[in-house]
Amino acid sequence: MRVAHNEFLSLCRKVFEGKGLSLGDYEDCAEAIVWLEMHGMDGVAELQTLLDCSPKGESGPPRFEDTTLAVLEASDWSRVCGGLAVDLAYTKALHQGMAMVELVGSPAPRLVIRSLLDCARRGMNALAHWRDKDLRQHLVTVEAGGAYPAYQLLAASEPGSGMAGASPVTIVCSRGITLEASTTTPVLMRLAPEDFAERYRRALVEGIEVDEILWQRLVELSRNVLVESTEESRRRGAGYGGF
Amino acid sequence: MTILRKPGLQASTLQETAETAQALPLRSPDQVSTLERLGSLHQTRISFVRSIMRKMMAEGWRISRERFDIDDQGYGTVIYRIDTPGERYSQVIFSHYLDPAERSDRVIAQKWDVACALCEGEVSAERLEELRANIPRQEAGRNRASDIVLSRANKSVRNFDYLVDMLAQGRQPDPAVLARVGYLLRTTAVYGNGKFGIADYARVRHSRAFALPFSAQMFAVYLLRHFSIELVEHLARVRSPTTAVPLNDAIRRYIGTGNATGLGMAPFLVNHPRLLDRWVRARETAIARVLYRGRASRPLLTRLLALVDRARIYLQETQTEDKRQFLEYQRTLEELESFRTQVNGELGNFAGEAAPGEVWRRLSQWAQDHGSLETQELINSLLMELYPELVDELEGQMAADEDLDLAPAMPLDDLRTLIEQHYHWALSIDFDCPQQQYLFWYRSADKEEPRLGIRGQEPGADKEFKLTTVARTVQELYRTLQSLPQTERAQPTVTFLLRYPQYRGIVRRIQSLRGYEYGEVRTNLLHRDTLPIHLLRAKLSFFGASKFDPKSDRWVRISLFQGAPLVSDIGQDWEDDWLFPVMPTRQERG
Repeated sequence: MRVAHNEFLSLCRKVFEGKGLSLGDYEDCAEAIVWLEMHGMDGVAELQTLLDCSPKGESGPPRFEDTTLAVLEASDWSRVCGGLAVDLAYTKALHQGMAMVELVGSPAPRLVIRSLLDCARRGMNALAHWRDKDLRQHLVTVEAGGAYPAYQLLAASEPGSGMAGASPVTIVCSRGITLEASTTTPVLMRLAPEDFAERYRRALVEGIEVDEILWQRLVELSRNVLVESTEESRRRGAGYGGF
Repeated sequence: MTILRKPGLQASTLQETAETAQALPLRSPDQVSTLERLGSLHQTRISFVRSIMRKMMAEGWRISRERFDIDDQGYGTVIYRIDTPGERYSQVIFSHYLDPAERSDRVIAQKWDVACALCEGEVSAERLEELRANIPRQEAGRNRASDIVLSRANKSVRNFDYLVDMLAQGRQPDPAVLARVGYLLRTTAVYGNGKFGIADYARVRHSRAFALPFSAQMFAVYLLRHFSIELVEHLARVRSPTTAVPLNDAIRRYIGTGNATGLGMAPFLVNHPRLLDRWVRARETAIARVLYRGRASRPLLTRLLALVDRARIYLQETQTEDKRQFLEYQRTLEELESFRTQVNGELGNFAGEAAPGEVWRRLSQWAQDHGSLETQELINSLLMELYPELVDELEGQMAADEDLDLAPAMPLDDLRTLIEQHYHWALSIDFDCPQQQYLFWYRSADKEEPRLGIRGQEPGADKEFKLTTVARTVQELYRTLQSLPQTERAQPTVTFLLRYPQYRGIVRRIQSLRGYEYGEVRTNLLHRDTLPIHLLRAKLSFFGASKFDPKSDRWVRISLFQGAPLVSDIGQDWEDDWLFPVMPTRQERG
């Protein structure tokens, strides 16, 4: 079924609010997923991953931190979307010129892309890299002030390269120095900022396709934020409406 | 893979263009953004109905009937075609039989007298059938991204039957009937921005016709008004083909479109703080321009007298059974009489020249010293009418970049200072007092209708609508900041949020509203004495609503476009002067 951006965003917010996420976190998760979907990056797949996800760790200090580097565990909902990790890299880069944060254990690494754009909006260049479970590498860069990123999907690493399994998400922020990436690894897919712009425009015009069964599941989950109606609440809660 | 490093572009900081009005002293948010004052606002000439009407008239929009398949009972399908410069739209309206027992203004209603959609382009036969299958179902239907507005309306049955009756007899209706209830159709929801699959505002804002917020919704409401007039005239003709007459233009103009609004609209202002700031700021800027740049003259003082007289008649004609509102109107009537004396005095003493704003500031000061909030804001609306050249362009400043963004590097000391500067009103609330947390806002499983509950007496407080707890959450945040050891108070915000992630949302909100200080409704919405109707009225005043008639403390009926030019007036000479519509006189009715 075809849905609009705002209604998908509104529903995702309620779904994550219903899962117990706090105000900033359910906003971020929903924004990140819908951004991906509006830009053809399969936000729905990340959404389905998160629906089955129950990070139970506690927020706490980074596993490691110095002035230019930090390692964060994606241990609870506040870190899953990568916003905090990007914010941390941004803040360090503001003072040091360049900084890196590794986000370990993120179940849905693509969600970090939305946060990179916040970074760009604040005037910082940013980059994110990760390796998925199929050993393909994902590379996202965004220029300071840019509204859209550039993205490359690189072929899986050679067997015997020593790389195994999914990697942490590596986030780099840089002030005044544009981050670009060249590679000898075959590029499976390349998207320029203008490609993302065009995808967004098309999604606004045509809407987003969401599987109807999934939509119903989301609607059901969103009901966790609703309160059962009684005759009394119907009569009193919103003001008498009949005449 | 190699990461190349090269000198790049200077990091650019996105800043909004500085308001020229920053040279003007605007009223402070402490004065303006209280719930009570926001709930006392009236329509102004930069309300959305006024803006869209000016646009229609200036651009000569052509609105024609493409289809009018209405049977002798008044049921069927209507399509209006709208041609604007470079764009075409269609408004499709379905009119159905509705059992009176099923007629309800609540958002939980399932059926309505009329359902409609404003669509881009023309509507093919196939598309019409798709709309027919979905539009009358409203929330239960699905729509296309080329559908811009989805709405439904119920008849004001008494008015409807009365007008058909009179016109069928060859007589014009008594306008006093329309003074009591100023419409034939009353909308109970007007959806835009992606609801149920229709176009997102992100798309609509790039159109030429509907770039400004809510302009598409207002236009759809305007066409419902036009349809309601055509419908009663059609039914009168059906009933009495030989004697029926059309409404005369003066009475047609006196018909608006009603709206019934309940708590469904209430959270909007809290959910859209940057947008609220822009609306309020535009209004405050308009007022400041009049007070500091507007040179008084004898013609302008005379015009102000006429506007005061009109406002008094308008209030006398506005009926409400709500005791609180009735007393407010009565008080304003008395105070306007005194204000009139002041204006007369200024006119009598006027020496032919005055410094910019001098006279208006005296009158404004009088209103502050002697008038209720309702009176003060009504007078502000009148003053704005005097200077279209200073005020009207501000309608272009009613849109906002609504993205909230965290400032993760902000030192906690600065965050604390921000809270002290802009949320001192929240810090002073004693949340241990039961009255301060008496209420809770929640969403009901009944079509997600927002409702108010009494904490401790009703279930649902565990699912409290988080955005309605801004005051309490800010205070909690502040206390946590205050509890930090001195050595941690210069840390960046992100370090704090790593440890206290539950504050991410409220911190982002506080930081994002720098420069948007009018955007926070400075009240504790959980207080026992909260009148949700103030939130409704605030938003409706920006729409351009008239005839506020509260039906309880949580829902209200209003009229939109009452007094507005007709479709047939588009393309003719006109005066943009329909603030506070009053009954047409016998002479105007002909």
